[in-house]
Amino acid sequence: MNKGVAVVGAAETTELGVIPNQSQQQLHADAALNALADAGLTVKDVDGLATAGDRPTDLAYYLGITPKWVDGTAVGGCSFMLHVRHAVAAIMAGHCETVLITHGESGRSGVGRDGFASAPSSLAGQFEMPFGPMGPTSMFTLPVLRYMKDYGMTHEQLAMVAVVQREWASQNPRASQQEPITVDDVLNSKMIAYPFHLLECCLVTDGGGALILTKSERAKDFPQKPVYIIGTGESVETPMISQMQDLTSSRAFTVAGPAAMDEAQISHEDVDHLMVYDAFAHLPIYGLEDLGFCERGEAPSFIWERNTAPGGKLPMNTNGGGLSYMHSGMYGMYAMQESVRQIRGVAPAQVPDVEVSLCLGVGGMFGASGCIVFSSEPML
Amino acid sequence: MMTNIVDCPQTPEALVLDMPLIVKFEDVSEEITLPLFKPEDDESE
Repeated sequence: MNKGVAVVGAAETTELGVIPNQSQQQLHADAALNALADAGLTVKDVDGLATAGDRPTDLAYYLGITPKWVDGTAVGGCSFMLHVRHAVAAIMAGHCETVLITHGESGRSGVGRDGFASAPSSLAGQFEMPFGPMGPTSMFTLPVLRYMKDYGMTHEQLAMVAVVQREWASQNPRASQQEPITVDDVLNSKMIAYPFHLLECCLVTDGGGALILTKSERAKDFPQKPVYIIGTGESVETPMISQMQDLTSSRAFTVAGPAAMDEAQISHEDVDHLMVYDAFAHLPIYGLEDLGFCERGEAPSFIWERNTAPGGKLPMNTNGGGLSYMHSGMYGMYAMQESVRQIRGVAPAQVPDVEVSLCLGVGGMFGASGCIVFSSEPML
Repeated sequence: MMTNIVDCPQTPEALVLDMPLIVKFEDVSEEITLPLFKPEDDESE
């Protein structure tokens, strides 16, 4: 059922990085208008709307859309992958024809946005926050330390993730951080929360992005090369890092990833380009293993040996990722934008002949996941 | 479960994964007591 929807519009905000003169709502609108222009459409053509981080009601009112289909699923940074999956189902079911998915986040400047905290009444608020951990820097330390002990990953190997992604970012004029770095640079950067140094933590920036989806049979009528959605998956595990079934693997990844690949009927060899949401440096390691590109414990060596670097056999996070490109807080939208650019053939660090791009997102601290397989061809 | 390890230097060298621990109940108010943990070989108290 999932062979019939394509991305016909995709764009990020005009600016990325530090945008103190625009509210979060304005970032949504800027991204949405850019994506609509990319597709040759106006807001009048949109009859389905999805967003996270802000209420879809706010956004619909602000943009002047009265949609026939709405999705406000909010499970963290991968929410936009889930929106894509839900939009595919909605379009195929006939609930709407043209879906706008927007993301805007004033993550750095904090203009028109709520704070980042779990409610005291939430599970995490009751059972984890009283002991101190709150937010990614203090929560992500637990799984990565377990991974390091169980599989012998070194600090140098963890640092290499950031080094490789900076190599990609150095080819991208829109990346927030473009200056090449070494493993020593990473290990000598400020210790934020053991074992994470500053350069192993995501950026904190402002920006947004938007996608326009419609039926594949209409896709060739749009000005841009269509990017077909051939597989999708989603899941959630737990809002509490201490309750992960296995601290070295995300159950949400292992549900969402295989579901998307099965639906797309692809094997690992079919994937030309990979995006794994890299909030922190260990995320791509978990993604590579949970998706099955590497055996357990082997992803650090796989990255160290430059397989995901420019010129490697599995180009990954080619925009520079959340570590070097941008990270407003919910990075998932930017990962999908890079998949779309790579299939269109217009990425700043373009990989030759990308036909299939797999995009894996995380939500919260291994709390959720969404996975999308993009393709240059509709599934047969 | 999430908890804190107390009566131990808060350093990576001292806070070793899988170290044996023993519970230490900490009264944080008249009504609330939190279970914290200390190294099993700690001789204090």
